[in-house]
Amino acid sequence: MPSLREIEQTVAALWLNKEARTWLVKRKGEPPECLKNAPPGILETVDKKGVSLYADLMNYGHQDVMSSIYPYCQKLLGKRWESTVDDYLLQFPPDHYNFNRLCHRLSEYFTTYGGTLTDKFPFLPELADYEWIELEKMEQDVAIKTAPHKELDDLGQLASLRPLVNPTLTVRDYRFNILEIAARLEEGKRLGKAVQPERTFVAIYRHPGSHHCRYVELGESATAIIDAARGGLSYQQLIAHAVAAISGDPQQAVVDFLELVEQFQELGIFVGSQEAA
Amino acid sequence: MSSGFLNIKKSLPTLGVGLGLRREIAGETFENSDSIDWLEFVPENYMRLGGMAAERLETAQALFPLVSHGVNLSIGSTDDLSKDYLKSLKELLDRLNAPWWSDHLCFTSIDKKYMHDLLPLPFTREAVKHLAQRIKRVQDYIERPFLIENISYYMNMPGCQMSDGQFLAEVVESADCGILLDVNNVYVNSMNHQFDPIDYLREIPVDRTVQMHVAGHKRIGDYVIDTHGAALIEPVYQLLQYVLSKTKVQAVLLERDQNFPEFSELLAELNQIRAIAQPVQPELIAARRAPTPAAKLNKRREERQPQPQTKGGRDLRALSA
Repeated sequence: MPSLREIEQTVAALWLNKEARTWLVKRKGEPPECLKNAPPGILETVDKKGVSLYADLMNYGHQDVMSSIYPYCQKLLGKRWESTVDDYLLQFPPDHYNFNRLCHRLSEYFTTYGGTLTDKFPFLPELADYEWIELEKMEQDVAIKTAPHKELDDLGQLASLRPLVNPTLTVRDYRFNILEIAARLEEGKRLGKAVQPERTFVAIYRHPGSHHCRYVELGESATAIIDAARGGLSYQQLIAHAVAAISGDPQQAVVDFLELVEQFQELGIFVGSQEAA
Repeated sequence: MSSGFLNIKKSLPTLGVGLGLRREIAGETFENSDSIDWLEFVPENYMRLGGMAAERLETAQALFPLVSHGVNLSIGSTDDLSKDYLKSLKELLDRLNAPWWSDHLCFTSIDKKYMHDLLPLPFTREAVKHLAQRIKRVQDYIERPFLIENISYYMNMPGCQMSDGQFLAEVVESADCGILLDVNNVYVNSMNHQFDPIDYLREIPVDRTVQMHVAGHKRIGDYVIDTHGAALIEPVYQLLQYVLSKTKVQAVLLERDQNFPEFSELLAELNQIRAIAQPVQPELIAARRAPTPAAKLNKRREERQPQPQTKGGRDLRALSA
């Protein structure tokens, strides 16, 4: 009599592994590795039709959730999408109780096992990262505490206040222009020059009002200001930072900085002002 | 068999007739809080998650009594119980003060791999012993009454030593826990495995039933599949009536997870369930709550802020619950 564990392991191998199911039906040659330790009796008596049904139900669920999270990768890979998902799940089996999290390592999969896919589409790991991070940001277990956006109309306020950076914010430094690639895939356009490397900084965060994930392309100086703001610098210190980073007119740099702060506030990248330490 | 659980059952609140909290219909569910007595939620969709999910649960909590119905405890697995999972679940249930919690008589993971479906167990004495030990452990850890649900299953696992009904009976009596009795699953199983559903109900200790599920299903090829995506049919209503006539239950839930109809159809099904319960268990109908002023306030807030759909992701629910 096989043990409960042996039964669970053997039947799960059949549900999850297409090669194992094929072997079960044809019984030709050596069994695949995942069935080598199967105790006698199980493979002879297991309900093949039932195994096949469960395998289909699981596969349907896995494919469905992967397509919902990675519509652009799916569009790009077309007919190769389904087999890519199958292989991804073999390499990175779901290891978390949250259903959506079974999808979270696709970028890593493309980096490690991408083979001809990433030869043809070298931006695939970044595109997968871009798609996954939307869900991660929307569900990130962080409350976004906002504060009033105070008027920055005198030096005293610039010195005593600092921006409150949205705690869900991540800035990605992509090798490719992923925003452009995603937009083209969305519109069904050819990718053309978008597939050439083009360093792109993207702010990715959950909007405090809508809870939706937002993507905003940033210039290098805006990226540097966000980094500095996360370090707790006051507006005045950030202005000094901005002025030092440019070679042009310092007065214009201050005006540009204040405009940038306003934009960041409107976008929800800065979610208020608070006393600087 | 003496049962501490049956004494506990007497102290549990009667919640009435409820609906599952689902992202796709959350807005309409909140708008119709006067017509729905309570909500059941899938904890895995809310454990350690923020943003829209957290806000949805917060709104639900302001409007309804909440009960959790898990899908990935994997109580039947021979892997170790996940401490991380149990800790997150306990935090959530303590915060919501849920009167009881439930999961399925199945396994969903093995060798630390989650399969994200409710997978049948072999009906063996070893499995009964294993389950009873684990149920006692999780019940002690969570410190709230635990109910186990009979699943729908589409294959008999190798090595079975008893019937489906005997298996459930031995598990709940050995573990001294409650039952979440899904009569649609009983019906679906009776069709797929050719048995009389009433015989099954006679085999199990129905007096341990605290909560019931009713749902729709679909025939696909040779199988009847528990899809939660269709209207209830008369034989399922009849099984509901049968159980309600045999034992007092605290709550009945309509499960609908996909292929959502007009919300009015779901409300009509809730009323049909009430009509069945009325003659045999009027307490279930009396459990209907008048909305509190706070609930009304929250409801208005929700109406001003309809919840948009997200692009990606799926709420985890049972494919074959």
